[in-house]
Amino acid sequence: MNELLGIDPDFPIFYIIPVLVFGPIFFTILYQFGLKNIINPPEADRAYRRDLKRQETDLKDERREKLKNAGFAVLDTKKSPAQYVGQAVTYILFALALAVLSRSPVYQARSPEMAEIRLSLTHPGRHKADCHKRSREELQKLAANMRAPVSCARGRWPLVVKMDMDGKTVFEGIAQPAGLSNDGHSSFYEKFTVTGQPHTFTVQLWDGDGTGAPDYRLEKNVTLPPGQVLVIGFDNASQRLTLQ
Amino acid sequence: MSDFRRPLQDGFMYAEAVFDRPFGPAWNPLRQMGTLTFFYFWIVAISGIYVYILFDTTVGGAYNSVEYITNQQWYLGGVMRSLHRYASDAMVMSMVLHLSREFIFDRYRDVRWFTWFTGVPLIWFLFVCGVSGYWLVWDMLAQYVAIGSMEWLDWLGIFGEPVANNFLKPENLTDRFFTLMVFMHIFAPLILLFIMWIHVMRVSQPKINPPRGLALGSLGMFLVLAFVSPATSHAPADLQQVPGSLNLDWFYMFLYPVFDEWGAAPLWILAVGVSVMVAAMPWMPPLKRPKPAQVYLDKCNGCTRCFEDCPFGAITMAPRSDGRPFEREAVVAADLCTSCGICVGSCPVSTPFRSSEKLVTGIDLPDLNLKRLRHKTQQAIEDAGSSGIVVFGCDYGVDVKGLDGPGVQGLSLPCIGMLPPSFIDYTLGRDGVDGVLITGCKECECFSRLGNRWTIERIAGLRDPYLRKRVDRRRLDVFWASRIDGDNLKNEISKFRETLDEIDGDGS
Repeated sequence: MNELLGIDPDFPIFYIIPVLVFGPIFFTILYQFGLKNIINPPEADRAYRRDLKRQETDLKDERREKLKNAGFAVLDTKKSPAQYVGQAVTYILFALALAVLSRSPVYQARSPEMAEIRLSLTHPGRHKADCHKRSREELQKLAANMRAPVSCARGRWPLVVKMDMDGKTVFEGIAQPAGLSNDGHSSFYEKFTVTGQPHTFTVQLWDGDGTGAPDYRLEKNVTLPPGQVLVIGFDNASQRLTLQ
Repeated sequence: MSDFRRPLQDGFMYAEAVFDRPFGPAWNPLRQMGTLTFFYFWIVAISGIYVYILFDTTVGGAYNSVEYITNQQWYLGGVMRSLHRYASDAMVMSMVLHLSREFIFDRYRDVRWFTWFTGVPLIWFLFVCGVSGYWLVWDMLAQYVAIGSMEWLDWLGIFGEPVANNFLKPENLTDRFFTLMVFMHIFAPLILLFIMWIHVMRVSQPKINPPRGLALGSLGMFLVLAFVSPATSHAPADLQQVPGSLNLDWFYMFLYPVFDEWGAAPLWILAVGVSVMVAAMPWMPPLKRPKPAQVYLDKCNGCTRCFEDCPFGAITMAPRSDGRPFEREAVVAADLCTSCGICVGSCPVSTPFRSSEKLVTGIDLPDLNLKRLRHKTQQAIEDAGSSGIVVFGCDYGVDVKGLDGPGVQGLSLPCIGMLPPSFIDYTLGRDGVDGVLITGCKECECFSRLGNRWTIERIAGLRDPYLRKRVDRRRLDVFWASRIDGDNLKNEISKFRETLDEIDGDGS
């Protein structure tokens, strides 16, 4: 049908139908309820507005005249050429301040030889207690709509991360799980600036009680060109630490 | 006036005097910072609407669309973009000058607390508007500012996952998130405008438009600037690269280097601490002011003049409560009254030409009532002598008390608008002096906002109560002067003296 009407086939015609149907109805309602007076006001209204405008101008003139007669310099009177020159100088100075401060002095956000490491991990810690299958008796005690066969504790362990660079620990931290019941993900977001040269990174992650060997470990030699961003993260799909 | 502010006040007054020369008092930009901020907002809004029409709200298309606007359509789109940027920057400048001026001249305490207090969220929202606008260009500067802003917000820990993660890798930044940023840049100015409205809500007869000449001049300046130095972008954003050299817009981004240096927590403490301190300033310490104006119903006929003239909306008209045959009566809201006395000057009953022992007017100041004002005027007339000059001044303008000497006597009021025109008539009357000089804060500079405007309108017969026609206008001089204009006032008095001598010499 779109082709028949000569409309781009990718443009669904049903987008236009409501506009075509409701548009005129909506416009008619608006027109009847006041729009017509704005688009095409009655002559009486126009005359009234003209009259108001004239009165306003007359009042202004009267005010100006009376102030002048009373010997007061009416403000906003004509300026002399010298004053206009003075104003121009002021505007130029103001414009200069705007032009300069909106782009200078140049800020060096990082040294030219430095690169950046971003440690950004979002991963849920393991549950503090294992799930257990409810017995028939336990299920009987629950309301009918609450009888889930398996019961799991909500609380999770915090994540512990340790990151070494060239054999030296550069970061060590604990991230508590999100949520009031501590049942959400734990997140790390840290930034480090390093020189752009080969480095060995070792990242260790504990997502359990934090004792013993790390649950995840990554060691990699990386050569970072200056200005490069290296993101150390955790891929929850493949359950491994990543370095990109 | 607080002493520690005095040198700052003098500095501002000298600067204003410099700007008075080319601009005149009414166009003086230093006195129009609030109205100019409003005007710049409209420039930003209109230019922003045009730029938005051509803007592509996708991550991939944003930069190219801004480049198209800037380069291909430089004659309109580019100009609009530059107007958008420079007017935004000018808003920061005018806002800072505006609030500094109000602070320096002590116009933020007492009844003005509401306007000052609502100005604090305005500062925050102006920065949200400005910074979120820079995100949308999606160049290296946008990347730096967006990541910095998100890292700063993430410190609060209110998001389940760091928002800065959206900028880790190119694939993390979705069109959906980018559209959210666009919406933020649209909604923040709407909220800003709403708060701007609240900001002036309690101001009686607020002035939100600058004089036309100043508006046109500013607009012309932005246009020239747009052609001479158009706003441009950095290289396109690349999330795999760390931004290096950046041309920061220091009006909006001065805190980002601080963030790089100090980190999120100290910057939050600084930003929130300064905001709380500024918001609390009206009460540090609260202004001690004289007793508020008081209505005397036996003299009030509900004419509404005090209601119309009060610059702080402290007077309302209520149905008559004393059974007298008038429709309404004036009621003073004590918490809004600054005791400027403008209502006393507007009351038609405030006349010294009555011999009643207890001189009472419809509305009066307990600390300087009409009877006392007449007594002081009488004293000044006697001290100045029949060939002398009485100078009526105000507590915030040039000091008139120091003028006292042979033939000249000064009398200071809380605001020159407190002086009923009939007092001029009285002072120049049968047993009066040779001349009356009226002074007060500079034009457009009145501490009580409208005092000198009402005074000249009353003298010129534009506003009730009028100065009677029988008063010889040649024996009346009006000279507005700020505190630093003491010598100018003395010169004016000398000139006025000469004029009076000429009149006396003519025998008229």
